[in-house]
Amino acid sequence: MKSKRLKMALQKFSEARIEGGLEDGFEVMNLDEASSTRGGNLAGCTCNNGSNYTTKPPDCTCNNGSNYA
Amino acid sequence: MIFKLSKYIVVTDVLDPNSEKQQRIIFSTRSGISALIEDAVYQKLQVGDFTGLGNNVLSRFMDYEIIVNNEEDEFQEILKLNKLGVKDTKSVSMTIQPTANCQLGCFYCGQVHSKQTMSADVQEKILQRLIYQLDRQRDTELVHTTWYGGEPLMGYSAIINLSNRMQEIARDRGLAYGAYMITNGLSLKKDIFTELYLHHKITRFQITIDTVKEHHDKRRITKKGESTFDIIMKNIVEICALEHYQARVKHPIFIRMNVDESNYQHVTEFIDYIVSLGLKDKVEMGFFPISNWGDKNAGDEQGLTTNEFAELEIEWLMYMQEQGFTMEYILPLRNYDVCMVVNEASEVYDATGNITPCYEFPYTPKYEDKKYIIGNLLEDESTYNNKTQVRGWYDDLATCNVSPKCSKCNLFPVCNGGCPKDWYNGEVKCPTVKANIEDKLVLQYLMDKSSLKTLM
Repeated sequence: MKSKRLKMALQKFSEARIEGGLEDGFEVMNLDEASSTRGGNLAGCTCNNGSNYTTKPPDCTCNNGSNYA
Repeated sequence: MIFKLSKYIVVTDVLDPNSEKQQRIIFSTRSGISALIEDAVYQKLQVGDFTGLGNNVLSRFMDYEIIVNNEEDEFQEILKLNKLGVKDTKSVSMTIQPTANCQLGCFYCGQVHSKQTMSADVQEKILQRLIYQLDRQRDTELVHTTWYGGEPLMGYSAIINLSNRMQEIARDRGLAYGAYMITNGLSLKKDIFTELYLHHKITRFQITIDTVKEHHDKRRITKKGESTFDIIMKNIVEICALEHYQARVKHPIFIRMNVDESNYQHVTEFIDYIVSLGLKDKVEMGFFPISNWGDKNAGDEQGLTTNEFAELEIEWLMYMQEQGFTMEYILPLRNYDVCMVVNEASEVYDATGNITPCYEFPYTPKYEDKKYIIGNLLEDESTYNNKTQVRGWYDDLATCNVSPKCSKCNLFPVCNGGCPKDWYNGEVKCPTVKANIEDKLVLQYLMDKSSLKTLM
């Protein structure tokens, strides 16, 4: 991190935050924004081998012949 | 091993090294997903210990393209999806320059202006070209126009005529229609704004103000040397006061600041000025580095370096947050079309009838060569060159004919090379996000998780 002001803001935030663990050690922060450019809603339309969609939800056709979970 | 960690990820340092639960932010540029991740999990990813993650987590990492198939050539896969994404835009997008004229004589502008405005013949041909594009691309859902110049408002009657006719064509085919305008703001009086906004569906007016009056009036002056700051700001204030100003969108006016070493110290002062006018909830603002436009070398002569600009940008974004501007999302998104040049359904039409794939080409001596021009609307279509240099950007990347650095860059899926014409010109310049993505990830995290204002 290069910005000193940002570093200080992060430090202040960390000090004030009540720490909690992450479920699965992982927490997505921007599902809606990321989904907007990825052919639809990732939450409602998830391809099962990391492939992308060839049609948008609600059809949810995955490419490479994969299915969606 | 069946899987591998994608090379298209960005990871921050541990956010709080003193904490028991050490966490980082991980950002997949292939999916655009950013996530908090415990360092222990990240270490497993790094050493390829995927079985230790458990099926649920493994499956999610695959969904978010943080883990990918081991055999996959990721760069080629991204390019393949980019091409599919471009085909899937379902829109015909036109940039129309109704005049080659402009009142201003900005020192950094690469265009050479003349009094030529768009003839009725050229306007008719644009409409025919639109119909051709719609017939060719049957799944089109949206017709979109960007009005550009010179100064587009100096070709006002052509705008009104074309806009009426294009809206009619869209309506007849059951398609949506929308428009943007890039204007210097000098002639954008409130009545003109009202007409364009309410009746011609222009919902975004980009107006350039190069920070405070003192600096703006040194560079964005008329060809006779007259200052313009007060007139443009008066127009903006009057427009923002209109009752219907936010009737269609929240921020119809976008203020662009071109920043270089002569005015970067005045950006926060200009932000304060906008706040003092009561406009912080009415306009959107953005900062852009001065570059070499056309034959002008303003970027080399007085531009900031990418690193300098990137660092300043973070400070400005934080300052705007502090002043109460609404900013919801600052991270780059997965981007399939680098810009208009890769999309055959996206063309620029200038006042002479020339068709080009990039809006920086018209009226610019540097780009007069045939390799930059698709053709002229007044000539037979058989003379058109559909393989102009920049249109081949993704194919040239795939064969490493140009920009070999891009295939190795972890930001490629959100950047796609930035500006293809610059690479073809041998002017290698990565976007500033390359130099400040980690800071942006942290800033977005703080914006999401806290009231950032209270932390500064």
